[in-house]
Amino acid sequence: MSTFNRRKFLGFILLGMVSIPLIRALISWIKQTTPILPGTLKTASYKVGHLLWNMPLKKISRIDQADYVIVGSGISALSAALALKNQGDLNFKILELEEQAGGNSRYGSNAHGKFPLGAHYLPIPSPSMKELIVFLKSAGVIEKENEDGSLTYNEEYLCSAPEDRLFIHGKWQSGLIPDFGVPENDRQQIKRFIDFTNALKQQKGNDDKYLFDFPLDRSSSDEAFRKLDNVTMKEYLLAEGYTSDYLHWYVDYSCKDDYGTGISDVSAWAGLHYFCARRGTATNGTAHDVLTWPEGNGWLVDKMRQQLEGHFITQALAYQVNEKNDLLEVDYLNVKTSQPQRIQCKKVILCCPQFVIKHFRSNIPELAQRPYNQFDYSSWMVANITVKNTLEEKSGADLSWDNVLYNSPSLGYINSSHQHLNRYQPVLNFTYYRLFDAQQYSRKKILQTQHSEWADLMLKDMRKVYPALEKNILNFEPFVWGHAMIKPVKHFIWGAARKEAKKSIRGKIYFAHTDLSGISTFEEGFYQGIQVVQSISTS
Amino acid sequence: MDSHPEFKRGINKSTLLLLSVFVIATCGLIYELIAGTLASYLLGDSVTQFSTIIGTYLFAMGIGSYLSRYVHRNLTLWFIKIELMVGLVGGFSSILLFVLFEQVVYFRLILYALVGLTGILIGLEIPILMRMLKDKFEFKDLVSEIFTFDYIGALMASLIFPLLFVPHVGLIRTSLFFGIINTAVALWVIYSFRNQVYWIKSILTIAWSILILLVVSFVYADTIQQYSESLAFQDKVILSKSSPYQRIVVTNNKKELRLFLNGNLQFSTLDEYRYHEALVHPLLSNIQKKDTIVIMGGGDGLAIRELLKYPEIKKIYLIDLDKEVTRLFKTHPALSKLNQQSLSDPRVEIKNEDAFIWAMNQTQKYQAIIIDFPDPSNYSLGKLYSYSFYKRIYELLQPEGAIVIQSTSPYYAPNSFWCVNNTLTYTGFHTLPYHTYIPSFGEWGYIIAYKHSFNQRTPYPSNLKFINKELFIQMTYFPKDMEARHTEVNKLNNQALVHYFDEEWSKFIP
Repeated sequence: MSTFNRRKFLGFILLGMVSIPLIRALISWIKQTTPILPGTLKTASYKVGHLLWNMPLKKISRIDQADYVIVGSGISALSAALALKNQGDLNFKILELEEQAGGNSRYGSNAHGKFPLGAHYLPIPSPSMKELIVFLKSAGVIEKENEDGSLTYNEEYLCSAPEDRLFIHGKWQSGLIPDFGVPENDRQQIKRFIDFTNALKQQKGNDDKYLFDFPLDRSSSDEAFRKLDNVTMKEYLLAEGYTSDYLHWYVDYSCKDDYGTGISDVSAWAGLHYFCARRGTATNGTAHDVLTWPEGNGWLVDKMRQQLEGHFITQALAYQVNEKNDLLEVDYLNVKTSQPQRIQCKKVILCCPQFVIKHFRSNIPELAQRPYNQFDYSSWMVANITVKNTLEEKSGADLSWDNVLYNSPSLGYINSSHQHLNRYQPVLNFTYYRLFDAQQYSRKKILQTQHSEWADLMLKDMRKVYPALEKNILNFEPFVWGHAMIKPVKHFIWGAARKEAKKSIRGKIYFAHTDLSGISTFEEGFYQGIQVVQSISTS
Repeated sequence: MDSHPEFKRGINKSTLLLLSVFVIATCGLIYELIAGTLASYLLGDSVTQFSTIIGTYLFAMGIGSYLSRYVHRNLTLWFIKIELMVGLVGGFSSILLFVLFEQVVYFRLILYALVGLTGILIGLEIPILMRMLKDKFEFKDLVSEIFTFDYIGALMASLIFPLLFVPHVGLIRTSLFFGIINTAVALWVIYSFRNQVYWIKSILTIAWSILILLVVSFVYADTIQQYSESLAFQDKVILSKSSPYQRIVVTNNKKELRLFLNGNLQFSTLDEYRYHEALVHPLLSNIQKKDTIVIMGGGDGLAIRELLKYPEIKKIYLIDLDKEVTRLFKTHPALSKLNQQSLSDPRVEIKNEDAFIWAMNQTQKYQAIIIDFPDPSNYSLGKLYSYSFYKRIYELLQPEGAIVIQSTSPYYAPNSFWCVNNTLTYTGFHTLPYHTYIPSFGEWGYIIAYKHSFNQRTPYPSNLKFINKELFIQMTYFPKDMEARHTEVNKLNNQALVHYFDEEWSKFIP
């Protein structure tokens, strides 16, 4: 009997020794699978924006005067303002809804650095983009112009090596063009496509203009190529015998990155523009090199803003533009005081997207007749993920600036701490980009999605490369853009709606925005501003 | 040999045994995959490693099957013993391989012995099991059942291993986990067949001990992994600390004390004086007004020990990122003895800052800057050898000032060495590269860079063991196998130096 008891006792001890660590492991495993990440959800001020739909009429509390009023403060607005300033017109005001200027180029910051909320890089501009080059010189991005006309960029602003990597077949390869584990036939198709687009890049149309250029309105009007605007990029690829899934993924990824929508949506003209319009050169960089900062293009916004001090009226929600005698009256709500205010001016430059202009009140009949429903926008969720720099990397290429996952629902993540000069950062800011197709994920649903749901979506994707990601996250801050970028779908870039919407109204109301270009890039925004001021001066 | 009357009582036990075929097959293949993966991690060339390991394993299974004919009696006991052995050997195989890799010359031999042993044991199991079950099933059914379970197990192993276990559990825990499963099956068989197993108590004790050993190891796998890392050093580890930036290890043997950062040798007390005298004194002989000196990196205080041989120096700024390193070399008795308490000297001001950021924020200009960073082995260190960094240093330097940079080996890594030199000249510096022999490192290189002129104007201190004016002149001569060559300029946006360094040193350090 006594031996039996002893055995039983020993058995209990053994059972305890074995089961306690196992139970502990089980508990931590369960905890791990239902993460609650710290951080808050932010959106472009769509709630205030939606006030436009049912604004109560109040009495105007204050009236100011100016020659020009610029509504909006994205890149087109800032660039238009700079162009006015550069030609000596100083009597202008900029009305901006958001607290911070910059439109899609806005940025956030935390104790570990700044990070973009949207646009995060600018490719080295082509030599033909003189106005942009002048601005980059004034901002110190271009260090010097050499005697032979070549440009030397400030190395700190060129994307540091390693620039990009792709997670494919369980490994990080360097560069984004699929290579690791890609079959020979696909490689050949990829090479054929790259060679083809490189050749097309230098090609000019029958009017001696480049087939594809920036700003895109400078591109050749050669009908042989413009007609590519009538087919989708996918239809075009298939018609040209490009069937490789790897190539399709790569082109799709590229289109999504710049246009916010993929190859089954964008026109072939727009798709080719991505690959064929950039001819930038530098003594210390190539057309493939990009300029970037921890805060993305927000750095450029700050430089533009610095030159425009005193012209801003922020948190101002413009809701009404009326014609009164020879003048225009722009009414806006001061969001801070909830008081409506008015500026009387000679000309108005509306640098807002068409879906905002649509809701303006006005006694000007032309404003109501614009082809608003022809403008289609993509939605984005851009999240800042603050992580401890102890994440274990999968094998292959080192952590880069741009980190992309093959066949993932996201566009990957930017290491926004990449451009920092210091050697070691204990905490990194990753900026995660995710695009939403309106058919699958309506705008309404996007705006209703909760913080924890975004966290789940992100983790499901990112665990492929960082299985222990959630343990290392200090903060997760999704930023939701309901209307982020105009989609250059079939017939849009060279169609009637864009042409119609660009026209000014009787030399009084002018329009500048990337949705009037058809592609939402910094370059287009910058030239929208330049071109609108040029057309004011010539009229 | 009808020695299993129990079978007649129910189908349970034969099902149990068939199930164990499945477990054995899964575990067996998993051990083989672990060995293959570990061998590819540690030795590289995964095709060779996997081919030879699969071959060895299958062949060993053949040997096992052959040997099974010599097992005559007590089949159940044999089965249990083998199962326990597989659990023990397989379960601990990855720990054993991890630890032994750094210790043993004949690592490959041990690897194949381990794979062979596991193979033999698994090879023994199946025939024995067939014999145990031979009267319970018709032969055609028995063969069919056993091989079906065997192959399903193999499929299962080959799927869960890469998809589930390697990414989520890790190699050490995976092998322990399957060891636990093996042992658990053995225990189950023991309890089910307790009536026909001899020495039941001792078998049970052994089985439970193995299980506990495996479970405890499973829980403490992380600690074990860390331990195996510290075995990488040949000598006695007298200090081992982790700072946020790096792992600091100091080892000691009869002759010397060595410092390792992230496993890379920084100095040995036997010959560090050669390295530091050559780093400091040629530069200082050019500086006429030696009142303020800046040193970047070099938190060990050994270069400062050399600087303090000049009584006219009034101020030394030490810019070293790692507070832990400077603290250790200031306060640890054995370490501060090496630098002769240089870090406690009132003239020394320690700034635990990032050198690039410090340089960006400076407004004062300096006469002499000594740059003693670790080799450019990764992109973060590569920044500190870039044009952008040197441009800033150029701006920080007075017109008659000069700097010196430790620039890795011009013999082992000539492209790297000359890349540093060419980056400096691209920045606008004039350079004077030189090199010397340091037994612990081999042929080592430095570059003095200056704005206008360099002369050995002032005398060297009298209490030096190695360098003097004449020797320095010899050091500036580069024979043909290390001569100057054209390289790319190292920039933040190409990190050319890190690529050179990687390529060149990988030939010497596998």
